[in-house]
Amino acid sequence: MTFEFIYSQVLFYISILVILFVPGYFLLLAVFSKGENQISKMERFIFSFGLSLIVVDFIAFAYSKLNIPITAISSVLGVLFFSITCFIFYKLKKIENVNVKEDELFSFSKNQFFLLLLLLFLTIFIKTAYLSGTVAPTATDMGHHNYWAKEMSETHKLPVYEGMPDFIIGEHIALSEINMLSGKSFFSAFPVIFLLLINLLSILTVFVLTLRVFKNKNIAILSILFLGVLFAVSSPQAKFVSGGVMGNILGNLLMPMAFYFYLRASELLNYDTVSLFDSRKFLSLGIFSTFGLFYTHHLTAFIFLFIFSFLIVVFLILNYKDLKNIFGKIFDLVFSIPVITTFAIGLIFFFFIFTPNYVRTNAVETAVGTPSKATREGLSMDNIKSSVGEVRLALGFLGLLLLALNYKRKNFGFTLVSAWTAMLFIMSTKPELIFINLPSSRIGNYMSYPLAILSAYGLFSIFNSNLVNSKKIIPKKFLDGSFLIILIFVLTGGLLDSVQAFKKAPDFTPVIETYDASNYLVKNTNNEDVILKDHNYITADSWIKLFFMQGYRYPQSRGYFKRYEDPTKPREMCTLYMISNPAGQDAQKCFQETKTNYILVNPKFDSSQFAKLKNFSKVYNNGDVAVYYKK
Amino acid sequence: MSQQKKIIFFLIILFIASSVWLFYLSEKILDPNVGKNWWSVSFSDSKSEDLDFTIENHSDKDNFQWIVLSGNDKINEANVTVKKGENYFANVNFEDNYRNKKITIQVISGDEKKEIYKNL
Repeated sequence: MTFEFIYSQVLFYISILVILFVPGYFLLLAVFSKGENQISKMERFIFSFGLSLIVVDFIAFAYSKLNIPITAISSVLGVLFFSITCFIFYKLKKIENVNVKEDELFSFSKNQFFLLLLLLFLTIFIKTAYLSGTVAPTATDMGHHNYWAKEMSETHKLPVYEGMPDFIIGEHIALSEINMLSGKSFFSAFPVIFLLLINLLSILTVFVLTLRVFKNKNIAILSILFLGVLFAVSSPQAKFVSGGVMGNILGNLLMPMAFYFYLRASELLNYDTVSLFDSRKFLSLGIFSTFGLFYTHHLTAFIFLFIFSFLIVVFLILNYKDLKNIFGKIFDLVFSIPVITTFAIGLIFFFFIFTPNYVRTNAVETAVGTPSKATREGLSMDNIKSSVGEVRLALGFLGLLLLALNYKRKNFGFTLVSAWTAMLFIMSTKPELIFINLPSSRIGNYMSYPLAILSAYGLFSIFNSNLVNSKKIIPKKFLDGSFLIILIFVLTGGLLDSVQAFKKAPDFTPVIETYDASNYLVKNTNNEDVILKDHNYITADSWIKLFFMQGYRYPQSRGYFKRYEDPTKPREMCTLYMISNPAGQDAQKCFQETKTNYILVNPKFDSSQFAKLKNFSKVYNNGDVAVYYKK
Repeated sequence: MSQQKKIIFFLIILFIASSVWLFYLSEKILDPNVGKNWWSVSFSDSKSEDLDFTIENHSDKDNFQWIVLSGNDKINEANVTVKKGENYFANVNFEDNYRNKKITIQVISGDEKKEIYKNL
């Protein structure tokens, strides 16, 4: 390894620390001082990342409003200013009843401790093995997101997304700032590693959430098995990481984190020992996380709203006899300085400092209503099974059933996990019931998170002798045998998907060829030239725009052929005509209108139609990509 | 060291090991000469009548034959050696009788043939 490689690595981890850890850590320090043990060290560590993501967003929004360029230096100064402010606040706080005792809930037996380490190792190992074959910057979505992050790094301004509602600012700020600070190119493993970190943190968030809901270490450890180790590759895990499905990956961290804080705030309703003061802090952090979610991914935020509303309604119905007491406590909780202040700051930012572009467009209206396409009419049970995995689906629903049998109506956590699963199930299988008009498979992907928790609960409950066999009705041998059979079923079903992780890495030559052709065009074109490329047969074509940085839609692109035939979405046809039939009258008109003079295609599929034309020259050819110049 | 700290350190070490490995792999993947076998031919100036061209070699072969054709007539040819990771620049002089003709550059290496052309 060269010195340069080591230096760039060190700089990268420092950037991760500054952008993704420090602000959240100091925020938590200001809220919960070190001496206070309302949250454990592990929770402090895990949530520092999630909260940092939101803090750096808010700093960038403030910069944008104040017309301060967002650079590496200003980003660091913003983080420093925020962290020092939090630190002063922490120092000024009077800490009473200092109790540095390790949280009992986070104190594991030797076996539990080693099992936990083993599961964490397997989680990271399987994901890394899979990503080893997919780490090259090729994925279409990753290319799109990296374009916006690169634009931010180059212009030092927040991108406006050319009015497109599908990109949301929170998806790109941290990525861009890490790029500016570390100097790591977007054409490297850095975007994938960023998403891998977020993905791992989402699994850890579910782990601590499970621990807080069930107050049972075994169930929490099993949740890592079901979410981290099993189905470690399939969507929305490592495949989403390599594919650059940025919003989902970030949303799957922020949504459970918000749930965690709301859960902790709700403890006031159950336990007399929980202080109102602490619950208010948790509620404030929950609100802060919710705003972060709304700034990061509209689909997850939309789903969050449905789950949260359902959760509140179900909880209140289940506790209707105690409503007076509950509302009294909620009133004390909500109408307090920290909660109102956080909410007000969030609203001020949302409506006056920086409003996400999906709010300004009709994105919300298009997500609500009668399903407009077959892909939005709901998933079948077979679809759900393939989406979340047979094992997780079976054990998850068993867990839900057992949870219903052991239901404690006052337990907000039980209602949370049940409502999370039930609402996602309704949204993905029967969207018409709640007037959802979104791709059902995208919603179905979210189910793996609550189902992993329920699977862990289900598996543990079946074989927990205290719960099932307290009267020794079931012989121990039978119980052990059944456990072995189910364990084999669980492991084979869940690990089968990880076989993909150990397949031979693909040939990356076509990727490099696309980059080389792009570099050729960068050297041979200027701002007056107009390029058209093909999305059907060129590998990693969505990354071509990062070479030019002349707009998200530059170069123009011939999209998938089926898109030109979609009657529900009529679209321009020029990009199709100019490549498929460049001699045709329609194409001639298009060339005139668009002034297209360079065409980038795969010569194995698109070559003969240009060869016979006298106004086209083939100026570059590497076998997989050819460039045509039109006089 | 408490259990929680041990878990956190374990996670940090695993994450760093994983990311160092992925960075190392991506550097190899993005190196056009490592584990890949391809070459390209391109005109040095895509817009003008200039016929100079470049062979960029990232393959294990290093023997290349290039032929310049005017229509179907051979105008010029040469055998050249281009090592992996190197470029070869060929100078082709433009002549008046090429005007209004299709000038093709054929490059052959082993059993692989690639061509570029200009309609002058």
